[in-house]
Amino acid sequence: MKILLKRILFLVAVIALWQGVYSAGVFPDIAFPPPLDVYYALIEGFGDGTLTKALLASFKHLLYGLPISIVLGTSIGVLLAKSKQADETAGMYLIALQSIPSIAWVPLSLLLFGFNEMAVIFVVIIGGVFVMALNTRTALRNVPSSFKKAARTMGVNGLELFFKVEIPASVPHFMTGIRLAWAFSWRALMAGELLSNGPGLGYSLTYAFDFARVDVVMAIILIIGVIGSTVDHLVFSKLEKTVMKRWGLL
Amino acid sequence: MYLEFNNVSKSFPHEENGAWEVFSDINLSIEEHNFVSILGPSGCGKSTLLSMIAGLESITDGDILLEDQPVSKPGPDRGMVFQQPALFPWLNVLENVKFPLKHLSKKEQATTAKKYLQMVHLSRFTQSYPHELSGGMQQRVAIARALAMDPKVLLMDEPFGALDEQTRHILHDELLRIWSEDQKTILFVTHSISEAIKLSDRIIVMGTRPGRIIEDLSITLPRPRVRTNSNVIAMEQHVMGLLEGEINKVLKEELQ
Repeated sequence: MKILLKRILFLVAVIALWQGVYSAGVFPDIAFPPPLDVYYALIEGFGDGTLTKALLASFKHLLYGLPISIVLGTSIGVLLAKSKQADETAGMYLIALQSIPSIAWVPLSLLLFGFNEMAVIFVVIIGGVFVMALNTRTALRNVPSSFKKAARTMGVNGLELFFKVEIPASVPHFMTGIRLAWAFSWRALMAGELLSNGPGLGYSLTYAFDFARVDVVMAIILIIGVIGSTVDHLVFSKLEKTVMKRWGLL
Repeated sequence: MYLEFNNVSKSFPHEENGAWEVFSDINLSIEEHNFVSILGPSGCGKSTLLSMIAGLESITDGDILLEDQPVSKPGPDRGMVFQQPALFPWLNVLENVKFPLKHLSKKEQATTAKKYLQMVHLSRFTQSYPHELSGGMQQRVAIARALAMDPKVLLMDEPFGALDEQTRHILHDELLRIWSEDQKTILFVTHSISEAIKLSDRIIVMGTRPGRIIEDLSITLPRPRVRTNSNVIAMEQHVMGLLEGEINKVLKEELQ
């Protein structure tokens, strides 16, 4: 309860500072909206359904992209963890690929797929796949050798060892991978939509910018942050913590 | 013979010398139902020898025969308990003990697992998860899991080494009781002289650099063996005398 109070007070202070900067006229009105305008923009956007529609479109892109990036990333990770040959050949490029910001893929994606939703989904996939692959690889490599030894003395080896011991033992790291894949995909989604032809939250942001609706721009930035942290907090962090606890790692 | 070692050698590849020999020409025969300890300072290869019986380490030269069958890879006829319990955290206690029993029907798996959990006095904890148990309890689950496979030989690699003194003593008594009920052949690796004397029928004392057997002791003292008993004290001093030179050798090398 005390933490909640601190957080609310902090938020109030930030909004007050925001209002102060606005009232002092540091930036021109067209570039810097007061808090109340942003609030009205949110009410209006959800009221007439434009923001809701954009939000649903964004979630649709994620719904297609994220599972594909998780499945693909996991497969790459398993391959790299299990085949020394594959890891020596391709392992280091994974980190290189992971270090490319997802917005860098957007122009290429638009050229490949055209100005449509497929281009956005592609960027979402690329956004999550490498971090997922890296975490899957780490997860499998960090399976304690004592588990494998113990299983082998119980007559379990080969594929059975992989499915019955290595996979369940790597679930905690794997969950971290999924959480990070979500976080990266969410960022990639916004980057992709920003340059796309819509619909989507990122597209609405560019649209508002084109029409000089800075209040809407601010409102969408808020929505992106709130959704990003809420989903992380309510879904992925919770899932990860549950697994960690059950695996005795917390 | 039940378990037999014929000229067993082990060496690991070494960058400078080509190969590094842990021990060579180990010859040993172990009878069924015996509780045998392998005692020695660190580096003598006692754990390596045990892993070779388990099939986890390859045999460089010679062979190990269990009921006349050469040992090459791991199998459920040799149960092993490690210093770390190595229980699977995603399974509860009952499921952990059932893990090696996949060849049995569901019902048999449950009855067998429960029987051995009862033997280690953990019947009340079947539904608990490993991290909810103390270190001593986890090790008892590991023992139940190894015994549930009904192995021909139970290999124990310093199983109580990571436990506190009191828990260790309790588990010594538990192990002796289980052994008297189950009549398993036990090979027990330890570096504790008193532990070896308290538990075993026979102690194989190993020396180091190079690893070798320096003495093969039979202990006929009646159990329970109390540390203050004069025979136990005499035996401890004898073994201590055997190992003193070996331990000094290790120390000298490490301090160089």
